[in-house]
Order: sequence, then C-alpha cells, then structure tokens
Amino acid sequence: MDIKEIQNLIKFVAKSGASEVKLEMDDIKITIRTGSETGDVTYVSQAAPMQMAPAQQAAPMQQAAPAAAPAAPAPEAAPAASNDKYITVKSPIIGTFYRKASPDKPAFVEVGDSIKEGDTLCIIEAMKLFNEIESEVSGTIVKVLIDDSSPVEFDQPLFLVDPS
Amino acid sequence: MNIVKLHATTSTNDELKSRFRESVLPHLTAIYSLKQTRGKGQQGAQWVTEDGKNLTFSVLITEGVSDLTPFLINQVVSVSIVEWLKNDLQIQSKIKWPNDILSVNHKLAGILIENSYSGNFLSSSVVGIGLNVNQVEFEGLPKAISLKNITGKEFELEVLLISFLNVLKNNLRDPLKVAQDYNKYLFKYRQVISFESSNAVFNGRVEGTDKDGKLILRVDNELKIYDLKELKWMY
Repeated sequence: MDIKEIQNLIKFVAKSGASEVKLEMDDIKITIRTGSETGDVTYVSQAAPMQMAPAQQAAPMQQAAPAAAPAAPAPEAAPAASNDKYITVKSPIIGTFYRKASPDKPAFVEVGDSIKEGDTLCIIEAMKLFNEIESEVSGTIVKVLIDDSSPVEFDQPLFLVDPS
Repeated sequence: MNIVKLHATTSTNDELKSRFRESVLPHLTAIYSLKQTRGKGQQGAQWVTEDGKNLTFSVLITEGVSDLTPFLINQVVSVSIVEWLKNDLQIQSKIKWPNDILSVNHKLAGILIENSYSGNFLSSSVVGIGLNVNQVEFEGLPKAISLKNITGKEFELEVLLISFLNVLKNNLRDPLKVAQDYNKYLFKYRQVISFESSNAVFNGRVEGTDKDGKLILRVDNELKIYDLKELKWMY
C-alpha cells in the first residue's frame, strides 16, 4: 500500500462520516480516526478535515483490529439519520451561508428545483474567501434548512435533497 | 502554463469559472484582461482600474487542492505575492490580514478567492488578483499605490504575470511550508496598534492567525481571537 492509497483511504473514511476505521492486511495495520467524535464542542471539529489527515498519515501503524469492511461506498453527502430517503448536504466549513451569488441575483436553488451533480447550491463565505458548495448528487431540493446570510458551523445541514 | 489574454471581460474570475464549467482546463490556467467591466473587489466593492495599466488576472488551481483549505490557499497566494515582489522586483510589502497586499502602507494588490467544494473537500480554486502596475493617479483612492509609483518604472503586464505564476507554481508544490511564512509577512506583525471591536477601542499586539484564518491579538496579556467582521483597524 503506497502513500497515495493511504491518503485516498483517509479521504474515503473522512467522507464516509465514520469516526474510526481499522484495517488489517497481510503486512500492514491501519487505524484511521476522523476526530469528529459526537458530543464534542463544535469548534473542535471545525478543523478543516485535511489538516488532520497528514498528521494521522504520519503514524498510520497502530494496533490492529478486524477489518472494518469498507462497505458499499457511502453517498458523498452523508445521509441524515432520520430522513433516510433524503440526502443531507452539510457545510464543509464554518462561515456565512449565502443562497445567491450577489444580492441582485436569483437564489442558486429553490425548493422543488431539479439539480444535477456539480450544480452550485450555495456559497459559504469565510474570511473574505468565497466557497461554492456543489451538489454531489442529482435530484430535487426538498428543503432549505438555513436562512440566507446566516452563520453556519462545520457539518451543519444545509439542504435536503431527494435523489430519486 | 496556459495563459489566455482578453481585451475585455466582465470579471476574470467569472470568465475563468464559466470556462472551467464548460470544459476541463489544466491546473494553473490563467486569464488576464486589459479591461474588466465588472471587476470584483471585496464585499461587492468594485475594483476600479484604468484600462491596460494594471494586471488583473485569475488563475485556476486544481492539483492538490483537495489537500488544502480556503485559508491555506489564501496564505500560499498572499505569501507568493510578497515573495515575488521581494525577489523579482525588490519591492518590500506586507499582508494586511487577511489578504490585502500593502507596500509603504498603501494598497498595491488585492486578492479575491472563489473555491468550489465537493463534499468535504475542495475541488478547485479560482484566485483573482489585481495588482496596480503602471497607473500613477488613483483618484478617490488615497491609499492605493502602483509598481510605477514605487519604482518609477513601467512594466510589461504579461512578463509580470509569467514570473508571478512561476513563483505560485513552485509554492504550490509545498503549500504547508509556504503557509508557515504568512504570519511573518503580516502587516504590523508583533506590533501594538489600536483596534475597535463592539464599539470599544483597545490596543492589541498582532500575534498571527489561527487555522481558520482568524486574527490572534494579545490584549491585556491575554491571547484573543477575532473574526474579520468584529474588528476594525485604527492605524
């Protein structure tokens, strides 16, 4: 397993929403913790996910355990616990949520709109840096969970999308 | 390096984003325009510039971008501008947090970064930079300055662009290391100045930034963290 594969694995685990995955192969044992234990105060987990990854990657060999099967690839946006039918789009960063590119433009999406993978759903602005949030699925916007111009935390649900 | 020159466009960031939506563009594709009809400044402010005198361009970052955060990109770009000005043009400059480039206390360049997230990871970044080059009068902008104001010389815009892109390209090979230099180039770094926050004026010593890009000040011997919107500089 080379560094690239380990990096990809870390990314996969981080995206899956799992808090810990242990993997054991012929000559290698890997434990990946995403550091997003529930119950933590939010500002702890607002650390950008990739800043943690290299640190963990530096010490990949830890105690072994039965391989947590990497299961079927989880949908990119982790499904919400309750609305199993819908996909929840969450904020990847802390910042301010904007539904429009600028005040005089229409909203990127409205409830009932059909969206394609890659469509921009909103902008999260932080520190004068503008971040377009793209949809990872195609479907229909079921609900907009945040008011325009409101502050959002890392991992806060923003939209519900019906992928069917 | 893939450089596109335009005579006019609304905004080079919008132009680059829209071209990137329509087709696959290589890492570090740059678009520069002699004229921007709707050049974007920060917070909806317009970036006003005399046609053909200044370097207004946008560059696309895709390679390795999923390993970065928005503020890390900002740090690498800001440091790249300061190092480029220093090494290639012998001009000293500072980063006014979070991303204005000042020289002799006047604004020489501005940065506007627009990223795209796919899930929890960045998928691309469009970095817009406006650098005052050959313009010498800035009506209504007492705090602006250009390369010509500083050096007395005229510059070829495209030559500047290519030399800057080379610095950026190199720095993006080791972004985490480059980002570490951000604090030391901060305007007023380790100096005590006056700030205003929540209608109160106080003195604070600029100590650096945290990982999210917030400003760390030492106030009454205590480290405090400030968001952009809650702090006004009174220098």
